[in-house]
Amino acid sequence: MSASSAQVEVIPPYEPRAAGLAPEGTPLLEMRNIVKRYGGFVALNGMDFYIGKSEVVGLLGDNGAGKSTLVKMMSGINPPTSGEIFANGKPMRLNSRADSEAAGIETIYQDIALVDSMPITRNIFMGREITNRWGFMNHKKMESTAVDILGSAVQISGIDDPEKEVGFLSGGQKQAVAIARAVHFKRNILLLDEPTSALSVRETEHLLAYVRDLKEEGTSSVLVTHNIYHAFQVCDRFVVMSHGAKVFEARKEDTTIEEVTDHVIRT
Amino acid sequence: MSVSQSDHIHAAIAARNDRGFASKAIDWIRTRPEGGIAVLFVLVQIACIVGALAFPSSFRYLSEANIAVLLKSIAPIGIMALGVGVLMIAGEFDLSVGALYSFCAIVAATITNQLGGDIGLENASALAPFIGMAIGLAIGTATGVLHAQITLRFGIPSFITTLGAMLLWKGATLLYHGAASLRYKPSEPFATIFNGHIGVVHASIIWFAICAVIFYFILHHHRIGNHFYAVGGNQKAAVAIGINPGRTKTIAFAMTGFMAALSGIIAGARVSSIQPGGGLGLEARRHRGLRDRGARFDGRARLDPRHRARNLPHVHDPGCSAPPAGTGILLRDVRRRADRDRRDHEHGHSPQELRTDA
Repeated sequence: MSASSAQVEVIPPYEPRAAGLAPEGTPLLEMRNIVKRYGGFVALNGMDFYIGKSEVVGLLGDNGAGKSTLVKMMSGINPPTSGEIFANGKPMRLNSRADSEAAGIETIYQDIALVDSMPITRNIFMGREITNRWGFMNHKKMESTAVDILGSAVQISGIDDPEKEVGFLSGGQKQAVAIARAVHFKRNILLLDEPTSALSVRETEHLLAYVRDLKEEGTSSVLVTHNIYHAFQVCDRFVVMSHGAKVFEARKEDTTIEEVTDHVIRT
Repeated sequence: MSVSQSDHIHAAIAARNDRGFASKAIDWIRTRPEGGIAVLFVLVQIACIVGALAFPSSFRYLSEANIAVLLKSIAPIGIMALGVGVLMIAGEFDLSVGALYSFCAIVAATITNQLGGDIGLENASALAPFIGMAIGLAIGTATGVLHAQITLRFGIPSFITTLGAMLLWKGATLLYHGAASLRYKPSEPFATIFNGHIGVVHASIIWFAICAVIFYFILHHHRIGNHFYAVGGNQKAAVAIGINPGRTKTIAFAMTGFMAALSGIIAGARVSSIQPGGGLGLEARRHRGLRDRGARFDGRARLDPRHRARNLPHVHDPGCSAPPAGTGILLRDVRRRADRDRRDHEHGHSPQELRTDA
């Protein structure tokens, strides 16, 4: 077979931007025309994004598309260079973790965000310790709460002692601890940045079912994933990003798994 | 489903609490980093005690004087190490503690003397030493905050910042006071509080113990201790979860400066004088026996007129750096002779006999 006869589909380097869908009603969180620059590099370029009430949004795209940048922005640790943010229709700022906490946003980070040298309990309550009025920690209460949330949030394999140091846990167990922490503290919005990368099949199914349960209870989620089949199990709406902008957006009932896959590949 | 999950965790916690004392201790040694250090410490102690029992005349480890001196020489280093330890847990390092140790002590002593707080004076002011100490501690704390701001605002590694700061404070000490040693004999009740004794236990050891307990509670039971561990263990995670690493590290730097100053003042009060070069080298102390020899002098320096002859930089202070080579030899001779003389004096050995073991 000669090289000239090979049939390779030429994938265009850029997909055109898509305007996307307009939110119905007042979204929980809306971001308009968001730009994020790191020196000369533009990570987000005029991105629009919103999260409605009781909705699971799938955020898809190739590596480097800007998904994690957007998630970190919503969690407050990565303020935008320019753009507008609204919570329940009111303008707000996301300049620090305190801002996002006030908006009821909780995140499961891709890089887990646990301290290996600290026990599970201390990791779960890191920065939000249960203390008395002088700032001394209530170890008993923290431990019993940790036991409850470790047992209920996700079924975690093999974690039997909340005093175990996180460094001794496997990748999947660490991820489960991070999930348990976020689930315990979330109020309005749960951001999941590739939460299933280290989980077992059983744990993944459990987590996806949990995200659906949360939606019934009124908590919205954003699921960042490379697994479009997982996304199709739980998401109501899909947003595909490429090069810091939105290239495709559709509700689940208006699209197919093939169409979404095609847009992700083409970016 | 959730109930059964929590149940097996509860069972595991119950099993952990039900272990016998021996298995708890063994698990502690195996899993905690300080477990190994504790084992090593106990082994060294056993070796020394066995040695002392085997050779009671030449290795007087268990003599009351030796124990008193050992405890005394632990205290200033220990007080300083508490602060440095907290800073290292928070992920930064301070090389300037040795220079700060001298600078803050010199400031405290100068102010004490200027306000008439010397015990030798008639109508010595009782308040003056406390004012001097408060100012010294405040300078130590403020210096820690300054180091933190330089390190954090300009993104300079703390190793570099404090290497420069070490030279700066060393120079500041010389500028402020010069190279001569400074008399520091504070009036009562300061003298008793910081230089008293309960049996063989010197006040500085009691202060060290108090500080250690306070630091234990801060590190393991207070919110800020949790933040120290979080910021030092994984700064990105701490930021992601809403801890302000700048604030946390600034507090750690301030605590380090405070403890360096406290250590310098307590050590100064103990030996009744402060050497401008005294704290240098404390930040990376090498154990060359200097401590033992120097400290033995400390125990008696004020009683024995012969020790006045040795009013040289590093005789009083256990932790100071070595003098130039020539002086070193000279000093060694002077000290050996003095050592021998004193031992003769105490134990009635003939000089001939001792020359062989020196």
